[in-house]
Amino acid sequence: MSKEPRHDADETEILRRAKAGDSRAFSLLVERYQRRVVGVAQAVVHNPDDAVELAQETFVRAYENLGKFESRSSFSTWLYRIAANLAIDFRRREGRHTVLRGEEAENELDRLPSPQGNSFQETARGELNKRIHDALAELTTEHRAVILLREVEGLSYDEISEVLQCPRGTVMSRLHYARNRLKTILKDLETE
Amino acid sequence: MARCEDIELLLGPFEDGELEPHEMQEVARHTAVCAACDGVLANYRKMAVALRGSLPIPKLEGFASGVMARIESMHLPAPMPEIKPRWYETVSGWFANTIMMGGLAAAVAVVTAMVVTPELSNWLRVRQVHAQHPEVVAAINPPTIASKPQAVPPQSDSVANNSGEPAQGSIGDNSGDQSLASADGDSGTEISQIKSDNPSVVVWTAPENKTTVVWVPDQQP
Repeated sequence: MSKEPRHDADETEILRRAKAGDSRAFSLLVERYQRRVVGVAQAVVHNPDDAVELAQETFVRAYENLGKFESRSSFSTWLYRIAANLAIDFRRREGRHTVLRGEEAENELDRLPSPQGNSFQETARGELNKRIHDALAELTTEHRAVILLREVEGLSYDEISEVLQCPRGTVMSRLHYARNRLKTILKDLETE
Repeated sequence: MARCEDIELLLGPFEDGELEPHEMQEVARHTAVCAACDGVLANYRKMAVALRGSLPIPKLEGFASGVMARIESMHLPAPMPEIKPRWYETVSGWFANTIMMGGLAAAVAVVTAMVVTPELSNWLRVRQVHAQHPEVVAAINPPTIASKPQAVPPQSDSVANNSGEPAQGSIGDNSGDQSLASADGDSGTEISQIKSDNPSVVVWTAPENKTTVVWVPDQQP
């Protein structure tokens, strides 16, 4: 499980400078957390392009509200919560249908097995990824977000609870449900 | 040994390392002897690996510079931290100000008392002498005080008279005689006798002018 550094002395200093208007310091924070913020957004919206846009919006919102950030909680958790809230709002506006657009649609096509096929392994991997993608799409936003935040982003139950603003018990039950649901959808994974 | 139904809900948190130590031990003991539950754990691990590998990795080249460009284009003010004083900080600040102001006022009062009180007491003493012996005031700056040195009887402190009689309250002539040649060079006054039983009070007497001058120092010991 990957754990991010919690509010170390270095980050405290960077935050102090960023609050004072040092754009270079804020840029360092963006570089440090961009991948995880995109990951959190992607866990909710399940679309990489939308996730990148939402991540950009997350950092702009974070900059606007940096003065209100109190160091009681971790800066990363505060950031992920902004990203999760924006992504959840985005999902509500867009509905629950996954719409493939432009480059994303092309990416999806690329993942499909090519008629020529470079190798059996690549084809198998592409098929597997597509099946997992489809299986995740069958989950509700809440269940998908929880399992991706846990398995892909490596957030702890407490962090997920804080980011999604739900009790720890709810995180545990959603995770249990999501795992079993995916297990059912991807039954043949067990035999591979 | 715990039943599989009891362990099932703990398998996920066990895999995530989110159980209490005693629960971790319980699940570990169970899965060591239960192939079914151990298989569920193995499946969770496989699923996690598959999930990590399945998600497309977004391209993030230029992401940070894009964010910063957007922030700069918005001309946002520097996000200075909001300083919200806590209630106890407000109260303590109020007390500190009050105490500081009180201390300052006390210091001013003490300094004022130290400066004003001696001046005031001297002024009152002079006023008292002037009120009791107005002739002294008239004699302080005469055009010329012609006098011959004469012995005068001892005078009481702070009291001046022109009668040559010993004043009430005299405790004796213990100050001794002193000869003065022209106490005031400008006025040409000659007063040769200085008498007083109080060393801090000087009495100059010029009987021929029926004048007695009493000198009271600014500060008495």
